[in-house]
Amino acid sequence: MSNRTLAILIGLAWFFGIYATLNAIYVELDLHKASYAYLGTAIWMIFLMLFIRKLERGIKNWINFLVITFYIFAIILSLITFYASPTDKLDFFAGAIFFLSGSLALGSSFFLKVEKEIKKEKLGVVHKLFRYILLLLFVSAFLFPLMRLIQSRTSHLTKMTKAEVTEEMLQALPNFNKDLPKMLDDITKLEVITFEDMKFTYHYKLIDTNETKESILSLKNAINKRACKESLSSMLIQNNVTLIYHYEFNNKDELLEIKIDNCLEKE
Amino acid sequence: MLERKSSLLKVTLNFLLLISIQYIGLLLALILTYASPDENVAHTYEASIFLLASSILSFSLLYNISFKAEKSNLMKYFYFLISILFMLSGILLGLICKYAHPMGIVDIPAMYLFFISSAIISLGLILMFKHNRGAKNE
Repeated sequence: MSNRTLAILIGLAWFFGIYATLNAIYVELDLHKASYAYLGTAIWMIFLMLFIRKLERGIKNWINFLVITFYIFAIILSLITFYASPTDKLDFFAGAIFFLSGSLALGSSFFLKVEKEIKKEKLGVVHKLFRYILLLLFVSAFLFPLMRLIQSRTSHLTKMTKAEVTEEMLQALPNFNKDLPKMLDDITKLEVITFEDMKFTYHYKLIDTNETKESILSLKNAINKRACKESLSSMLIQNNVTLIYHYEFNNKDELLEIKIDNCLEKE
Repeated sequence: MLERKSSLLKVTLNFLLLISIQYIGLLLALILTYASPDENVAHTYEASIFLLASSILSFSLLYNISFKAEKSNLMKYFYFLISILFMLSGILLGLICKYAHPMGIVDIPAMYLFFISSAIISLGLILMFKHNRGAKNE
């Protein structure tokens, strides 16, 4: 296969990889799938790059363009998973995989330049090792879907037991409470967070306000959506913990509790 | 003269590239540890993957640079200085995962990944000095 054909194939892998990633993010709303699509693309690009025999000027510039844009896209996609995720859940692991893929592709192009521009006698053991690692990476690309399948089959096993959840929560609770009570806005004060009998409760106090039970209750959907988006609360819900938002009004006799125990409710 | 200017430009670009690569990774790792967008939760494991990715990329760049024998010793020491800082921050974040995790827990896998990142960058530094010495002897 000629160098030019390989360069075209790398370009095609780049194009379809980015298309598949954006499709998974914005159409299928699956960040996990998107991150694996991106990683797969990076690995295909690396594999094809290894077969280029000579780096002519045009091909070198073309590959530089592809890998640099791939890396910049990876940073942008990571930031999207941080601050503008279109899905209900924040998936930072997907962000990390995007960044890792971009880095691997760009890193391999630096490696490729060394391999093509330096005399073979100068390349030592580390270089050979590096080459084997890249090939291993290519093989592992085929293992990812298999791993994902195994993971989905065994996902019910990864759930924590009641005792484990309780232990984790009791350990983390002093930290959650260390800055409390604190004012979240002009009227809402978060007094304390408690965990008891698989119930994780936020105790709020509404100060100097005319808010009624009905107006707070109307926010239930928004509260549910936010809880499912935050990784801590969604992890708790997945492990059968009930989230309780306990509101105390000016008048201490008036109380309101919003309970969330699943993420299936739609707006 | 023109050749010297072009070489200086390349060295400066490499230096800027190395700084950006390392500090983008470090910044994202710190965001996930101390200022995570979902509040209250420190994602140290994901943070460690960010640092690992940055260190792999920095290693490749240092490896590439190492074959181009730098005439300027000063630049070599700049590379050394910023990479050492990056390496130390990896070790520091690893220790934070063990002894001062923001959520009060111990995250051993993240700690190992942070330490591996530091090891990768130190390998890059060793190779850079080794190849430079080899090139000078020739």
